[in-house]
Amino acid sequence: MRYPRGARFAISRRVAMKFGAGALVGASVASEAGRDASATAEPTGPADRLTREQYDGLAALAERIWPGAVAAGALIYIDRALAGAYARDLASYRVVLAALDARAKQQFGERFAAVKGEQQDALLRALEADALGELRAANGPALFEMLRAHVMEGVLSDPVYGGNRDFAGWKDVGYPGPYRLYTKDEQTSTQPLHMPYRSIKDL
Amino acid sequence: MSTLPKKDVVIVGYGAAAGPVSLELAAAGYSVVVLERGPHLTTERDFQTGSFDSLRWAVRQEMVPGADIMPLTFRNRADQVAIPAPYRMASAVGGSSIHWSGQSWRFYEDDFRLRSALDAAYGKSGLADHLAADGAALADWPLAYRELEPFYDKVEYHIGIGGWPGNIAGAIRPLRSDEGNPFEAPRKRDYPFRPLRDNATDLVFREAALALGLKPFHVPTAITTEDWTSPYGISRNACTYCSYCMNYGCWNGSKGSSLVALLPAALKSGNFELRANAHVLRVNHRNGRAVSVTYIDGEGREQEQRGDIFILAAYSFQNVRLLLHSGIDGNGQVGKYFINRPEFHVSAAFDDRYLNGYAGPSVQRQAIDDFNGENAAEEKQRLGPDSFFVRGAAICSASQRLPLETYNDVPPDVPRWGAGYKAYLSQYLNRYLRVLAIAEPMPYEDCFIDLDPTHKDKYGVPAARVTRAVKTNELRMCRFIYDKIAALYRAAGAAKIWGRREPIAVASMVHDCGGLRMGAEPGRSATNRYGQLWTMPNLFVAGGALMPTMSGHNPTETIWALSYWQSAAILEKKLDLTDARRI
Repeated sequence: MRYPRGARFAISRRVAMKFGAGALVGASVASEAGRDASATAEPTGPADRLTREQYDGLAALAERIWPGAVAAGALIYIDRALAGAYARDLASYRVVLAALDARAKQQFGERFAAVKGEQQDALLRALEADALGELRAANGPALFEMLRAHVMEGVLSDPVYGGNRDFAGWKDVGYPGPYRLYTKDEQTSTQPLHMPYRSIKDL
Repeated sequence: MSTLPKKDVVIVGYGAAAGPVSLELAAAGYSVVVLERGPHLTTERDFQTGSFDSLRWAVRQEMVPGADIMPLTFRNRADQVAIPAPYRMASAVGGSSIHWSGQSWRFYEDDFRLRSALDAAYGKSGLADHLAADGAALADWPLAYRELEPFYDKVEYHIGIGGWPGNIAGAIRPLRSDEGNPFEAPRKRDYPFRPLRDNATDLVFREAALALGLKPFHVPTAITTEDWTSPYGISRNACTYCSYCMNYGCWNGSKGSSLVALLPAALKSGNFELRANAHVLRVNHRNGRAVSVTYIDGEGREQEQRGDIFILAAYSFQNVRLLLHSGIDGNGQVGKYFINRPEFHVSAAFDDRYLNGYAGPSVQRQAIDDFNGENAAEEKQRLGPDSFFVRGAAICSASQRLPLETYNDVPPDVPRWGAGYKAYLSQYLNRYLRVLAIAEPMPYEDCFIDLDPTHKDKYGVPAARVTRAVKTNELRMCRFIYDKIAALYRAAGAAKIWGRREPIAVASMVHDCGGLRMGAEPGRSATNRYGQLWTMPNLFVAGGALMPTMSGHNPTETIWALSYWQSAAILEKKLDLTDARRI
């Protein structure tokens, strides 16, 4: 099988620095340079998917769902998914990120990515509880569940999909990755197994 | 449209239900063609490495067709508008027998005569009157357990089921005092090999069950635990206890499926043609006989396949949908008495130990049957008329706690996102287990499948619409079982226990049975005891849709056994292809 390759991903340096993800911007440049033919068949660039401001909002949101999600590459995962398997969800991303920005400006005077963490949480709770009036027709809770699921997929799926960078997500929850075999001793242990982390590409 | 050369037998779908009957008929010399909607995935190409990927198979569910192919809608009552609901079964050569857990039981002896058994037990006392008030449509099967026993045996020895016997011809736990299910229906002989070994989760469950005076056992599984060659000459490797089992194709060929345990033998017969990516749209019929099916092939061309015998062996929803869309309503019986389980499980987390639930297949399971069937009849009767329920549930531990499949399963006092959520998962994901209840649902007059008036697939065929609600008996049963599971967890020293004490109804709980009830007489069932449609005697149904009632055990082994039973009836000419009443 072929895994998606050649992610193009960029968030503003300010947001990246805020989440300690300076390496991420560099990584996106590297993958731009290394783009292969299969990747150029995808949409032509981040702007085709989300605006820089929307990526900033998404990064902030991902951090509120799972602190460390951006450093773990969750946005790279989502960006690739929006170019492929989840392309149908792109419109929903635009709608919900725009709504979060609008509500943040109205309530706190700045766009979503720029307001305080507690304020972001309050906005996300409103989205989750269907209390963002402008999203009621679009089913705010379902949009929240989708965003939450995609962030968690970015944290917990195999690194070949762009997230779970250096097994950051699996290290958080103590999952070593796919193994073809477990021994009886491993299976009956009531202590952590401390197996080396590995990806499907290591099988 | 082209019309293809006629075959003796045309089979729609190649999942569990089609496997035995298609092989047996082909081996006996019938020309058989199987039209399977899904692709032909293989162990070597698709599963050997590709299976180790939760995103593909568990989250994005690459084997499960979308609403453009298999639209399903759901409502609780007939006066509601149904809304789209998720479909969960695999569409591929081998069907859901590829991505199932492998839990493989026989039904109870009294599952085959549920109406009589409950009448005898509770008819006089009126204890079970809540069933009648809810419109329960109980029935006896048109065949007895002893008639199916040889075919259960054939499944176990030909497809390969591992277990400890609990009852060999009436001798309880004949081999080891603490391993087999002492409540199981009598079997003629032992299993061909043993079940999977126990893991840390199983040991927690087992010790707690023993402490409470219950009788735990390891569930029988369709997974080879030693290198094993079936009577068909098909060799399979011993399971390596990887974790990519339920939701995944087996990397190692150990998990039994129609794909790995039956298809190679069918192909070897020389009379068996498999057409994957063949999407059947309708059954064409004339003068009360099926003459052909129309399907779209892998290149998008419409084809017509003629035949003498037709067997609808797709999933329950699709079998009903195909019949209704083809204008075959079987005296108004098609789609009636749909039965599926309520969604129900209870989880726990521990402070004092790790369980490493990610390490091992889902069906490494210890179970108890102490509260299944009528095994707890006395205790249930003591509950009084407001809490009494009939039947019960197998209760079992479940492994394969992979992160992408479990990150939503957190206690209600833990936030679902943010720092508190991350802290919880980081601390407890490997200290956590889930217990499942295989709760037996009843059939009801107002639970059924029909065609949705609005939603359609991409070919314009209406969606299957499911009407189903949780009824009194299921509600009482789940409350009771929840408390039993909680007691097990407390005995095990769990730090947190959570779950849904009150079940919810869903369109598909993967054990979706009934809808094409087999029965002893036309007018109250869709087919006779061999799955032959009363109103169209050269058209058969195979699969769980035939079941008049369900069981507190998983249905797949019974689906395979019924398929062998049907093939024997056809081969031994126990039925008449011109009159379904002449049996």
